[in-house]
Formats: sequence, structure tokens, C-alpha cells
Amino acid sequence: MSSLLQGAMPNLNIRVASGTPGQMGSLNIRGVTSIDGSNGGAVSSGPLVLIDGIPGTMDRLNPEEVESISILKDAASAAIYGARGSFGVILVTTKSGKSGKTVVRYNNSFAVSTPTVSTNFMTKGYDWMSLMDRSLYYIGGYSGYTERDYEELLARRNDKTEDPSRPWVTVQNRNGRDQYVYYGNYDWWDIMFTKWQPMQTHNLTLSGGNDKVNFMINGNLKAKDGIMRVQTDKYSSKTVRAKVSAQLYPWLKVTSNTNVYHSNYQYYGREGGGTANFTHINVHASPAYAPYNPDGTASYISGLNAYDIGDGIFAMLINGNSKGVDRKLELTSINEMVITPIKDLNITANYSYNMYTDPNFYRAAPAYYSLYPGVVTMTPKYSTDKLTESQQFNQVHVANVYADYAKTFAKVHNAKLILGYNQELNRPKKITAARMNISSEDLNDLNLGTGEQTVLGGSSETALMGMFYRFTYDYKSKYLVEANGRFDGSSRFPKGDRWGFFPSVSAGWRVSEENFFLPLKSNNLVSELKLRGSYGSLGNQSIGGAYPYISTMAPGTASYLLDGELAKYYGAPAPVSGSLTWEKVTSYNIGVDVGFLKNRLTASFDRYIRNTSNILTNGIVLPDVFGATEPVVNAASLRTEGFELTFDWRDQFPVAGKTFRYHVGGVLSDARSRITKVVNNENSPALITGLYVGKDIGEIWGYVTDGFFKTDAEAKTYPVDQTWLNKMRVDNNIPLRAGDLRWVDLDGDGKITNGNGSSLANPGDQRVVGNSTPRYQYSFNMDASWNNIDISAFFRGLGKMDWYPGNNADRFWGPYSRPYFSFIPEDFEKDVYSATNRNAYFPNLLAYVALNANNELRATNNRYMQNLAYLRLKNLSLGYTLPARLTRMAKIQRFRVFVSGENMWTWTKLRTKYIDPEQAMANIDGRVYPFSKTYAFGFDVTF
Amino acid sequence: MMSMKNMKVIGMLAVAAIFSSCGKDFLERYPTASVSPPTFFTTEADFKAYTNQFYTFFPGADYLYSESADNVAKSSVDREIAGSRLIPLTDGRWSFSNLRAINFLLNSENAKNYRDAAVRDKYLGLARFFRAYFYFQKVQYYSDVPFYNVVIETNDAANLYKARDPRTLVMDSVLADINFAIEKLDAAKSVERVTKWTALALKSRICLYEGTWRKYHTDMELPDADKWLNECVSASEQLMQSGVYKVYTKVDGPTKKPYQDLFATLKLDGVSDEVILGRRYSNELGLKHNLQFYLTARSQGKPGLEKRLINSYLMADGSRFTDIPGYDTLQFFAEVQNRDPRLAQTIRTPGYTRIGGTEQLAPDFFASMTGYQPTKWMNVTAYDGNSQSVNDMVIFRFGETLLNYAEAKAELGTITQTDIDLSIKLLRDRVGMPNLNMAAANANPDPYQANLYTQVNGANKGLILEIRRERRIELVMESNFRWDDIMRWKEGQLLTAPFMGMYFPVPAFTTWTVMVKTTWKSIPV
Repeated sequence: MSSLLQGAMPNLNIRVASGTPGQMGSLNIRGVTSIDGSNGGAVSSGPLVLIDGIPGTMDRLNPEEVESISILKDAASAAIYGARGSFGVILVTTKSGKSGKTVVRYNNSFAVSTPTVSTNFMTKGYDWMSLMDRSLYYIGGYSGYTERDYEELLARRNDKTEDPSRPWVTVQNRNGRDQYVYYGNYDWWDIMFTKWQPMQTHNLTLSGGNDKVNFMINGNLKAKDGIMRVQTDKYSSKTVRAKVSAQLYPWLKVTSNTNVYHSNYQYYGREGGGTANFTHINVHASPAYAPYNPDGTASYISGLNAYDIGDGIFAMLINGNSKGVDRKLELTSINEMVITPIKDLNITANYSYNMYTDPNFYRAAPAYYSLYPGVVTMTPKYSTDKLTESQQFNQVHVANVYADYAKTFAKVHNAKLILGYNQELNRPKKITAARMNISSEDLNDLNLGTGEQTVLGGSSETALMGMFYRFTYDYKSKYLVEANGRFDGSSRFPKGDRWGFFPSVSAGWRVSEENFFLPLKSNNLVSELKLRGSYGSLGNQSIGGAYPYISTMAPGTASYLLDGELAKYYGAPAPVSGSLTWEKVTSYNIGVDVGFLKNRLTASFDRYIRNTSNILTNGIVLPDVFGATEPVVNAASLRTEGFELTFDWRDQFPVAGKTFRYHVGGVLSDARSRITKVVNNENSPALITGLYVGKDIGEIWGYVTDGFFKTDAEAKTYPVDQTWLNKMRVDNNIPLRAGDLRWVDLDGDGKITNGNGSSLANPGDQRVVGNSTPRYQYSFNMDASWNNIDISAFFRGLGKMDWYPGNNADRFWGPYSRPYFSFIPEDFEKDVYSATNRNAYFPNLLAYVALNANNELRATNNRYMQNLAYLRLKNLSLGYTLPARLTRMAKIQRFRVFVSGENMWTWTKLRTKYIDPEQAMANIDGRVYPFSKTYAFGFDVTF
Repeated sequence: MMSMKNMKVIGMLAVAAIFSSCGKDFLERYPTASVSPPTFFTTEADFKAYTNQFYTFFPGADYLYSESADNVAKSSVDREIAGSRLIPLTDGRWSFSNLRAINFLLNSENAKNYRDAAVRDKYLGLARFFRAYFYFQKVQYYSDVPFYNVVIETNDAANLYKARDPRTLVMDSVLADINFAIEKLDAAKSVERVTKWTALALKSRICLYEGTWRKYHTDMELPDADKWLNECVSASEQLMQSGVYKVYTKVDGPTKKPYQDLFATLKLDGVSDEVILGRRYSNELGLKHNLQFYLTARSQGKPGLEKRLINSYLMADGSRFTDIPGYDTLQFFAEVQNRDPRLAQTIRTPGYTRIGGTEQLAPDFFASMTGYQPTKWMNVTAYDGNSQSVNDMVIFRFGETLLNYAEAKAELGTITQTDIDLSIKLLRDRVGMPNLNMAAANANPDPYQANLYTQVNGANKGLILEIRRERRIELVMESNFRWDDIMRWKEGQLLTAPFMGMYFPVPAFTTWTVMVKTTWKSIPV
């Protein structure tokens, strides 16, 4: 669901952590909301999502049942939703039955997906091995292959498939014993992963009713195959919502709304499935190495070095005994009554119950391999036989009571008052149990275990309570004012600091209703003009765990064996601050809405500032002798500002006797944040990595290089001592030469350093070289229909975001990071500096320099900073609705067929085509489960 | 059919019911899965569970085996040794969180007033054992350090900002703590729990360190060196005379060679004759370390023993290798013949086979900087993978106490040949080496060792040099002893000499020529 919303509304920012089937998006409105007091990291809290008035999860919602979504961004509109709405509110209303004829609607979609990124990796054993060995030239090489082995690899270099006269798996005597020696050109990507992943969705809705009772039942089914080729992972989900409301008496209406959600992800391999396998296959799966031997056993080590081929994942997958299922089940029941004791007064009371549980299991089973022909050995890495079951059981009770009264006086004064009360109780709980040595390979039940057992628990309780009012008044719909207030209490704070009062006000002026505006209006140039402004404050309590003010001794399990088990212990109580209270979020918003040409062109602009104060951060830094982390206090402040711009053009005209309707719309939004207050620390200097006043959230500090040394002589005589960033070279006595990076001595001290420990006062030769905040997010959508044909396109883009690839960004750094990454871009060699390739992107080939600290590529710098700006065709669809006169004969009201594509085209400034900008946004190493391009078709029929 | 009026009443009641559930206590929520300090330390189980965390203060396997100093050369040199260390803003070693956890128990009213004094004292003794261990380490790193026996509050400025206490005061407290622990801890033998015997072994280690430090660091003008050496002697003697431990000499381990098996064995129980305390690992529980990957892979630092250490191994007949003319230009095969058997049980020498293997393996020059590729601690090849080692690691063993004893007595000048027979002889007997002769050693101090240890003087000079040789060889690659030894002996110059590897008579040896695709031709050091 969240991926559908991505980019659709300005400043509703949705990030998806990976392309794993069933992956949920994380939502955020208007950027950074707070900072993590312990590490200074930016926090982008999610908005409160209310589904039919009750907190819910967007991604467990079925898009087909959504009637409307509205987003409240500023404090004033969100005010009455209280504590959890401080960073915006998303109101989702699901469809309801309408009185009248019963309607049955069925629609579906069949689709196939493929990764958005290139997967053309090096598949020539010779090329891969020689690249790795060269990168370790000074350090001893990687493969352990001899000159003879290299000749064998070279002879097969151009064999796309195995030539019988030159087998890819040979048996040779090495170290006194016959073993397999591999000379292949294997495409490990194709061996591990499928090119296309099928997917289907079915949806059925029944709705109807009469003037007293109406109902809606919606069922949805989704199934998708994951990317694993050997033992494919499978994801499916089902939802059913039933909604009935009855007007029992003219003064009493009751509604019951029940939703059941169930998802199931079944996988093989490492715990977690696709994503975990995906990360682990990334090492040592050389194209030279065969995944399995001629007798069908798996490979695991080459015997010529000590590394596990592909982390042993293939050996693990091949027997299919290591597997797991992640299930999620959610039940939500909302029961509401609306009482109208007198005219214009409605009292609404509702109670909802939400139960979420996720019974998961994972079975780890031993995997086997063969290195010596005929000898099958258990892999050291996957040698345990263990079943783990875990289950969260989370319950949420929410009760709301509110009364609203609306009255119009003298026909021009419209007033409305709402008074209400809300409470919420959360009770999460978790149980994990594990047992070793299960007596069956296929059955998975803890009762079958005969070995070691472990059991873990965990639970907490939090409660919220609030009372609120809203008063609105308008004069002839021309002048509008609104005042809100909320008195909130949270169990997370000590008694004396528990309650906070958060008021807000807003005002609007519809200039276009004024008499002086008539001339503009009457010539149809400007049809609507409205000015808006609001100010408000809200509290945020979702900070620091369930009991941030209570000092407790938490149980733990140590990585230390005592009495034959991992030692159980109680830790010393962490110091806590005696006075913790609400983070305060104050927002200012001004906006204008305009309509031109009879509202054919509408546009809206908002400018906002949001100050988050009282942010919990570590208190004044105490000397280390204190022996604990300083308790957090309400101290820091953050200012976020930005804007939103929306425009829409809508028109129609006849073409060949039929109406041609079309619409073009776009949004542009921005948010950026800066620290405005921190704890004043005299004892410890502010670090560039920490918090300090004036810090732009997301800023990236780094060193500056002006390119390669052109000649060896230049490298030798460069007066600046840059050993600080040349650790690999210094340690291995590798002299600087042409093709090594030359660093700029920013502080002029003749040495490249981090100054005084990267302190703000003296950061040495570092300066800000980028910023990781996503800026200028935009989107366009176009749709048109004519003669039963409809077409729509949706583009989404990002204006700027810097990314310095993490030290495990294998697709980016290749052997400059780990000299054994499996998936090296096919054309990587063209980026490697050499005497004949002096304009290469990367310097002289050397392993680990992008991996370990104090080395030239690991040190963040200007040269390798990436811009993630992109523009993507998120969706393109084409539909045709059969003429009603044809379908009516089959008693069908409406029948539409469609084809569509998602993420079909992407333009990006990111240098590599092997990483999707959204992968890089999701993960510093850019190597999460790939996102998909999807092609779909289906039909939609209504009876 | 209910009347409309009744329905209204019921509706209003329902609304009222929801309101009434919001009693005053609705927001009073207490932790459901952790306990609160005022109710803790009321059962022995509480003491046991709390003190279990102290065991994690012991070093992990990767610290216990991965020695460097001048014993093991690696592909990258610690900044301390390279002389390129920048003073950092913070340092992981300057951490006091362990102390806070210890002092929390020692200051708990519940603990102090616990009904069963024996149980209470046992755990207070355990806490004081760990406090002694904590401050011993701090003094090793920093000498003067602030001493605390309370849990510091955030507003306790006097304690938070107090100056460092003098080393002498801190070490007196350490001695008081360890003595208390010796008195109160259980005497039942255990290889995984701290006992009276562990406390004695720690005391022996601490007191030797402090005694020799004070003796050799004359510039610091510290008093009582002899007192500390005597404390070391008495603690060591108590442990030796108890008869609870002896040098492990069984031949039932994986290699049938007791010295090698002491480390190669997977479980400590088999070698509990000698091991006083160790840290256990387990494949089943996924608690593993990186030992064998470190020793065999080509990317883990490529450890190799340093040439001067190899030179220090005696000949099998007890004579000195370094007395052989031209010893420094002997090639590998020749130089490892007829040496102290511990050499072949510590590095790959010709004829070396893996446990459980039959192929003879040469040193892997891509996995060892010097060519002297260590094999100490190694078990079968199945544990060679990245973080796949599971053998238990030794933290305290009786052999160290014997060496402490001999050294302390020698430094005090009270040593006799009998003392050597009670200590060093036992270690030499295990590997079939002739005993150390005190008179002979003193009559003819080894010039090679004397060149290494420039501070040693006096009547026992020759003997002290031999005891240091014995210690270096016996304890190589254990607990980073070498660094501490160099520091307390004030022999830092050892770290400034270039580290050397195997000798090869290749003419053009001045430049690096590592051949990747062919066999090696020279050794990168």
C-alpha cells in the first residue's frame, strides 16, 4: 500500500527498506522530526495512521478498499489527534456499503517482476580471479591458484558453456590428496536468482444495503514468488474486511468494522530468507568456483584458500532443510455508536481492539559439501540443527468519546464545537523458544527436540490519555478560524511531568469571496483564492522505550558459557533522569490555494517551519569514571523547514464526437533540518559526527582530493604527509605512485589528519562534502481517457541527495573493498587505474582500501560522493472499458481490462547501474534485496 | 422491545462506562519484564545471576591468542609499536562501566545485609576479585587512576572530577580486594568459575607485575618492590603447596604431546590438571571465535613468530642455539633441527601435519609474515573457517604461576636450585628438556638474551635472563603476556628494533618480490 502512495502527495516521504516481498514502507511527513539523543542521528518519525479512526498500519491495508486518504501536516489540523499525531496524521477511510442495489466487484492483476538494476556481473573465472589476486598482489594473493591453474582458467576464458575437452571441474592431487579444482565460468547470479518473479492479486467486494442498514465485505489475496532460484521463497497475504452499519433509531447508529490480515513468507536458507541469503551470497562466490560437483554435491571451499564459497549459502540451499516461515496475523475490530440526543448534537463513542501476532519459525539444519571426491563433509558454518519459534502478541485497546455540536446563527455565522476524550493501552509481549537436535528433517515442532533449549520472553505496557476540544467558526465561508487544544498524559513520564497542554490556532481567508474580487472572478481568470495560516504545538512521547524514567535491572543473556549454557544475568540498573517530559513540536504554516480558469488549473503552496524542542539527548557529558551512559534529559532543539507545491490542470474537449478528458498534475516538496540547541558541554568538545548548534542534519564530512598523482616523481615529492589515509600502503610498504589519490592539505599543516579527533573546532583536513538529506522530491502524473480508453502515467523524482557508498558497497567498490566480493560489475576493469588507463575512476588497484578505516576510499571524500538524484516512471497503465451496451447483455455493469508497468524506466545521476538509488537510500551499502520492475495485466468486473 | 428511553439510558451508561475506566491509575504503568533494585539481592539466585555478568569482563578469545608485541609480527603493526599513535579523544580502555556494576553489588544494602553471611561473602569476594582485576588492568594502562568504591551519582562532582589517586594507594586497595577474595571464595575446583585458586593465581600475576615494575622503574621512585615480590611468592607458594594443580603431562590429547594439547584440546575439562580458569566456547550454542581463521587465512594479519623469539628457543640438549656460529644465517630446515620441542609444538616445522591429517605441510608464506607460522591452539581443519573456532581458551594456568614464582624469587635474590626444581623443572620435564641449572646460568649469562634485556643486573643476572627466556617460550601467544612483560621490565627498546622473518640467502633481497601466481621467492616482513 505505501508504495502506491510514494510520491503521490507532497512531503509524504516513504522509504522502502528493500525489495523483499511483503516489505513495508516507512512513512514520514515533512522530514526529520527529532534526533536520537544517544548518537545524534536524525530520526524521521512516522505520522499517526488512522484507519477508520483507529491507529493502524498502512501496509496491512488493502488498496482496493480505500475510499479516501487525507493527510494532516500542520499542528492545527492534527491537534485533536494528540500525542501520536505530532508528526502528522494520515486519515484513511475505507469504503462503506451504499444503500441501493447490491454490487459485486471482482478485479485481479497478473504480473511479473525483474530487478531494476543491472545484474551483468563478471562471469569469467579468469578475469575475476586475476582481478582479486592483483588487488592482493602485495599482500599474498587470494586464490591460491598456481601459474598452471591460471593457464587452465585462461584456456576456458571464452567458454560460455562447458567444453567437454576442458571440464570446469577437475580432480587433481593437491597437498597429497585428490580434490576438486575449479576452472569455471559460472554465473552465480543466474544460479542463485531468477530473472522473473511472478505475482498475482485478486480482489472481491460485495456491498449494498437499504436506508437503515448497509454493508461492505472485501476480500483480497496476493501471492508473489521471491527471487531465489534454488528453493524459491514465496510470499502471500490475505485480508478480509467486513463493515456493517445500522441506523437502529433516528438517534442511534451503530457500526461494526472488522478486519483480518494474514501474511505468510516461506523461505529457505538463512534465517530471514531472501534478504539474508542475498547479503551472504555476496562473498567468495567466484565464477571460477562450481556451485556443485559432478556428483551433485555442493561445493563449499576450494581447498586452495580458506574461504567459504558464497558463505556456504548454496550448500545450505541445495538440501532445503534450512527453512523458515514468517507469518503475520492482525485482527482489528472497531465498534462505534453515534447518539443524537438532540438536533445538531452528536455523541460518538467507540472502542477498538487490535491484536497482532507473528508466529515465526526457523529451522537451521546441517549442510553438506564435498571437496575430496566421494567424501561428503558437514559444513562448519552450517552444522547446527536447531528449531527456533518466536511470537509477538501485541494488543492495543483504544477508546474514544467525543461530542460535536454545530449551529448556524443568523444564516452567516457558522460555529462548531467538539469536545472529546481518548485513551489507549498498548501491551506488547514476545516469546521465543528454541531447541537443538530435532529428531526429524522435515517436521518442525519443539517437541521433537532432544538437545539444548532456550526460552526468552519480554513484555511491556504503555498507556496514553487525552482530552481535547476544537472550536471552528466561519463567517459566510469567507473568514475561517479554528482553535484546538489538547491535554495529554503518557505513562512514559514520571507522575509530575506526565501531562502537557498543547494548543493551536488557524485562520483562513477566502479572498475570492470578497466583493472587490468579483472583476477577476467574472472574467474567469482567477476563480478561487484562499490564504491560510496556522500555528500550533503538539507533544511527542514516543521516546526512550516504555519506561524511560524507571530504573530497572534488566535480565540478559551473555555471550559467555557457564554451567553449559549461555550465562543468564541481571545487569546493573542504568541511571535515569528524574524528570522527563514531552518533546514539544511547534509548527508554523502559511499557505495559499488558487484556482484559475474556472478551476481548471488549481495550485496550492505551503511553507512551514517545525521546531522540535525538549528533544531527549544525553545530558552533560560526565567523565568516563561515571561508568554509565549519562541519563537522557529534555535538552536539544531542532528546526525543520520546507515547502510544498501542488498543481493540477484538468480539462476536456470533444474529439471525433467523444469526450477527451485529461489531467496533468505535479507536486514538489522539500524539507531540511538544522540543530538549534544542544546540551552545553564544556567537558567534551563537539565532534563533527555529534550534535552541535548549526549542524545541518545529514551533513557528510570528508577529506578532499584533487585527483591522482600524475607521475611517480610527483607522488614521491608531494610535500604533504598523507600516511593518515594510507594505512594499507604504509603497513605493507607500498610506495605512493602515479595513480594514487593526492589529498588536499586544507589546514596547511603539511599533514593530512582528522585534527583534534574530528572535533568541530579542529576537524583537520575535513570539511562538509555532502548532505544525505533527500531534497526536492517531486512527481508528475498524467491521465487521459477517451472512448472507453484510459491511460495514466506517474513519474517520481528526487532532486538531490548525497551518498557516500558504505564500506561493504560491493557493486560500487568491487575488490577495493573486500577482494572476494562475488558480484563484480562486468566492466569493472575500465575503472581501474593503470598506465594505459590514466583517466580511470578508481586509483591503483589495492584491496581493503574501501573497507578499513584510515584508507583512501574508506575515508569519506569529495571524489567518490554520489548524487542519488533520479527520475523514475513509477507507473504507466493503459485500460479499456468494454462498451456498456455489450456488457449489459451479460448482466455486467462494467468490464475493464488493463496492462500496466511499474518502475519501467529510471534516469539517475548515480554512477553505477548496478545499484538502484532507492537501494542506496535504504542501505548505506546499497545491497538490499533488489527493487523490481513489474509488468502486469488484469481485468476488473462489476456485476 | 426496549423503549427508546431505556435505550438512551443504556447508551449514556456505555459512554459513562468508558469514561470511568480512565481511573487515575490508568497512566501508572510499571515494567513487566525487568526487576527493580529495591527488591534485588534477596536470594542467592539473585547474587549468582548478577555476578554472572562479571565473567564477561574477562578478555575474549581473540585477545587471549592474538599476541603481538615483539613475539608475533603481523601484516599491520599496532600504532603504539609503529610509533604513529595519535592521542585519541577517548579510549575504550578508559571505561568504568564494569567498575560501576561491581560497586553496585558491593554497596547494595540488601546485599550487605543478606541473611546468610557465607553466601554473601562468597559473592562479595567474587565482586572484589573482579574489582582487583579491573584496577590491575587500569594501573597497567595508566599507572595513577582514580579509585572508587562507590557508585557515582550524576551530581557527585567531588568524585566525578577528582584527581587520579597515586598508584601505590590504588594497588594497596587491589591487594586488599584480592586478599579478601582469596579468603572468602570457594575452594572447590572449577575451570569456569572463579574460585579461591583463581584468586591466588591472579594475586600471583598482579604481585609479580607490581613488584618488578617498581623494581625496574626506578625513575618513578615507587616503594616496596620487595613486599610485592614477596606477596607473589606467598600466593604462588600457597597455590603450589595446595596440590590442587599440577603441570599437565597426560598423553591422551589430540596430539599426544602434553604441551601442545594443553592448547589444542577442545574442552578444558581434559586439561584441568593445569588450567585454573578458562573461557568456554561452543559450536552448539554458536559461541565461536576466530582463532584458526586468523592462523590460516591470508587476510587476517598473517601472524608469524619473530626471528629473535625463534632464536631464543634452546637446543634440545639445553645448549643455546645462539652459541652456534653462523646461527643467524641458517636456513629454515637447519635452524629448527634439535630444538626445544616446544618450537615444533608452536609453529609449523618440517614434518608438520594437521591434527587429524596426514599430509605434511610447509609454512604458508601467504598466511604468515615471517614464515614461522604459528600452530599453537590449532585443532582440526573443520574449524579453519571465518569465526568457526570453538576451543576453550585458557585465562589462568598453573604453569604461569610456576614461572611467576621462579621470577619473583630470582628478582628478590632468595632463589635456590630447589625453587627451580619446584617450578621451571616441571615445565621442562613435560617437554623432555634438561633442567635449568642456576649456577651454570649465573656463571655464564647468555650474551644474546643480555642484549635483549638491558636492565638486568646483579648476582642472578644469568638466571633471570634464563627465566625470562623460559617465560617467553612457555607463554607465547597467551593473554598478551609479552607486552606486559616488556613494560614491567622496562625493555621498551625491544619494540623499536625491526621485526625479522626467516632467513633466505637470496641475492637481491632488498626489494619486495611477492609472486602471486607462482611460488613465493622472498618473504615480506
